[in-house]
Amino acid sequence: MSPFPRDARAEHPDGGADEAVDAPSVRPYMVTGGRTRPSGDDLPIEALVECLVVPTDPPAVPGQGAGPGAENRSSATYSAPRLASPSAAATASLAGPESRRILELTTGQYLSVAEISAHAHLPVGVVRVLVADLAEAGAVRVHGLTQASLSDPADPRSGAAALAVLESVLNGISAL
Amino acid sequence: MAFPRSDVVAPAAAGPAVPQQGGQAPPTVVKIVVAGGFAVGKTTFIGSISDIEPLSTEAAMTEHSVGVDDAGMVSDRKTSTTVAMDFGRITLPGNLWLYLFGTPGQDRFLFMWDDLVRGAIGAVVLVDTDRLDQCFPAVDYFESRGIPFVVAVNCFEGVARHALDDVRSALAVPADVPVIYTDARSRAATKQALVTVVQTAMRRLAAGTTG
Ligand SMILES: Nc1nc2c(ncn2[C@@H]2O[C@H](COP(=O)(O)OP(=O)(O)OP(=O)(O)O)[C@@H](O)[C@H]2O)c(=O)[nH]1
Ligand SMILES: [Mg+2]
Repeated sequence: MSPFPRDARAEHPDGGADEAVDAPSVRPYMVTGGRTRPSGDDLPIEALVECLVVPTDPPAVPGQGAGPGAENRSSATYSAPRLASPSAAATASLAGPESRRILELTTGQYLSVAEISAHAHLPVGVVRVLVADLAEAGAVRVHGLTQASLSDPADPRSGAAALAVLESVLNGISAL
Repeated sequence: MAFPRSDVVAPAAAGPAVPQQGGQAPPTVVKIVVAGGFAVGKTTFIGSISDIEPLSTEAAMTEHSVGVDDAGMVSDRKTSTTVAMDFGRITLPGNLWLYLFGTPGQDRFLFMWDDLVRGAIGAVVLVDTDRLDQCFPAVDYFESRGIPFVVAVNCFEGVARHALDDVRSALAVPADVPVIYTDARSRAATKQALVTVVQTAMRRLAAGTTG
């Protein structure tokens, strides 16, 4: 049999019914006050997030038999980041457990928006909004917005820079 | 807040000065997209080479519509549905992180790709020759956007059922698009497929910059 040609558009089924697309997840959008992605639009899913605020442990209660370190760590608190001129929705989202989770995840390691989304079980769109709010509040810094592979045709040097990065990637993969 | 195309977004409000994560400069991030039909081996491909166990996330796909929010303000309401997206990460020397994003190649998911492929080095289109038609949307998409891509025929059971030339002519891809065999379960084969994508991207870039 020879594979049938790409031009046979009419014969080309669109996947079928077995590919279930999840129902809209309503709850996470409450987190952002209904904003799906007003400000995180430019935030690539591979952008790396770095927490800038220091977790402050809650005061130890004497005589209560402190648990193992992991428990203490999970109860670390952060002072809620503040926006310069916050909207009500943004303020609410910054104080929420989802933002706190993002700060925890990005403390001590760079983590991409995609990884935050996977670990925090939040859709990418929600993470984008929350990270944008946190960045605006100075609670996180975002890295990796220079996309090396994208060269600017107007700038001859950008092509060379992109080539240099690609060469490093090529050498790196080849040496794996 | 707009994210400028600069390395770092300076915090608007000065917080306590905190050293960079573990004293490490932030890695340079690059990504390659892995597209293809259902069960063609995308997750297997990513898992064969990823440093981390492949993760799965919901990419929200949003549609715009105007609504009124609780405060009575007209807002840009969006309805959303989600689609699972797999990804992995490879740490490379020189503080480089390569992300591999696996995404379903069906027509109705294509509108999330603009976002996904922005800034990508290129793409691997995984193909099962028994269901060749499933890769048509992906091939059309990357071709029309000028995104460097490689057609990688996944050899289930290690058997090549069709000659690469036949696949090439059935897909009618341009001569500069490599058509190769791969085995999604094999780290070496996956590595070779990724090398081919990067080389293709470099050829494109070199051709573009020299003339
Ligand atoms: N024999 C063989 N089996 C494979 C190969 N690649 C994938 N499989 C199997 O095919 C099935 C589907 O592979 P996945 O990697 O989950 O495919 P996928 O494209 O991620 O699937 P979806 O995300 O569900 O669309 C799994 O059971 C794999 O073990 C291969 O090269 N050879
Ligand atoms: Mg999969």
